[in-house]
Amino acid sequence: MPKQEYTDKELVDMILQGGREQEKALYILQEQYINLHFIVVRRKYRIPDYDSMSVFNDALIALSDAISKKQYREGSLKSYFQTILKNKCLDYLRKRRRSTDEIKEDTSIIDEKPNPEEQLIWKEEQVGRSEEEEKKRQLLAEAMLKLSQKCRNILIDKYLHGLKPRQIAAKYEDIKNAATARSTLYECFKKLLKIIDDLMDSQAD
Amino acid sequence: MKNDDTFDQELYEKIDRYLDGEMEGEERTVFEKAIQTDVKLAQQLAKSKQARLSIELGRRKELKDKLTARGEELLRNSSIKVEEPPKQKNWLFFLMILMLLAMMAFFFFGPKFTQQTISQPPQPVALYEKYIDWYQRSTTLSNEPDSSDQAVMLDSAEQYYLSRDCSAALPLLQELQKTPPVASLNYLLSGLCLLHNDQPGVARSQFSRIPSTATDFYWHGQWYTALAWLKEGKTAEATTVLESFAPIRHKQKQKADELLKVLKQ
Repeated sequence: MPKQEYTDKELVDMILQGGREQEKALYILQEQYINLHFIVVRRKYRIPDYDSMSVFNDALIALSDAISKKQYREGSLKSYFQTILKNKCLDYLRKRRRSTDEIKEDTSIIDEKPNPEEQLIWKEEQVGRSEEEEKKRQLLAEAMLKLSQKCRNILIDKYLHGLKPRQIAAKYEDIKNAATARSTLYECFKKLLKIIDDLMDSQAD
Repeated sequence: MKNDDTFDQELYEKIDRYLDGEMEGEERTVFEKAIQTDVKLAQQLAKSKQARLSIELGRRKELKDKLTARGEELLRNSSIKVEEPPKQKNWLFFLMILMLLAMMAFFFFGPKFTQQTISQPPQPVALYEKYIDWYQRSTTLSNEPDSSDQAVMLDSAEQYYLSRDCSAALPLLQELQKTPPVASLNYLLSGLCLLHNDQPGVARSQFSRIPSTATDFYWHGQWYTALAWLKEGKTAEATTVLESFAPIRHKQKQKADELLKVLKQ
């Protein structure tokens, strides 16, 4: 259990700060909502043990994305998360039904449709994706992880948290000013493009 | 298209401003026209979009890996040790081997062997095996449906227990024990799961936490406490617990008296 109770607002602010604060908020939410892993993911939707934590964590990350993109505005964070979690569970079951014929009984739960309010949160992005697209996305994720930690942090600050070069310079000790921040961003971005090219070439071979 | 030298910092920043929606008016119109005519620029724009997606997906993967590791730790770091129940197939195979060995022993040693066995007093562990069962409530004790998180969790845990999935039931029960007041049913089911998971000592400590005011659960707890002692081969302790059933009326009393009789033989 978390040592301290955090309000929804505090957690949202931590996620918006990005970096370690965002990670910390996600850890807290993971602990606070862990009972939903049992009640919703495992019991209600009967998602097997080996995938249940992955589905639960996908929902946490989707929550974080929604907060970062200002899609979540007000209301109970837990209710919002429950809706995301439900959608993630249904996505998982639909995906599994398409890829295998394992689920033959009680398909009513998979055909469940979100209510109008939930549709606002509903994301079908993963459902219609081909295997080839999935592989490409995995490759792109790997490419980013091959960058140095510093480059990763700077690119995340710029592209995911919307920090300006001036703010990046203020955040990192070794970046003296906005001009240095801009050139560092450029170098890191170029390195990323190179890694993507190399990975795509090796995959094509 | 490979990255080439034309992708200098100026072009990078220009594409960035375009993608961020910071390019406006004539500059934007000119840039969009250039994308239509300049293949290299169009390709560079596509690659920049791809790199942005890479940043997002990479961060997501990094976070998910960390959450996965932590999630597993969360489930693993239970103060109550969760053990996977043995797989049924292995259990059946083991049982078949045991039966085969028993039959072989019977044919090899003949009536002399069986005579000796019968004359031995019953072994406590064998008695435990004979009497242990999967407790099931005959009636629902709550008068009104309770939809609180705690009630739903306890209900879930009970369902897992009834489907003999203690690996799922125990973490829920343990989580609930962190927030008092703890239901007597929780202690009873926790103890039973632990008993079925070969942890009789910890199981007894759970049973001992059931208050005597919760009469029904309390006496069920006493009955399984006696069985937990038997599982450890401690007949005297089991006998003492079973003797406490003497003055009471409870559905386990008949079995308690029967077992007591066997133990006192």
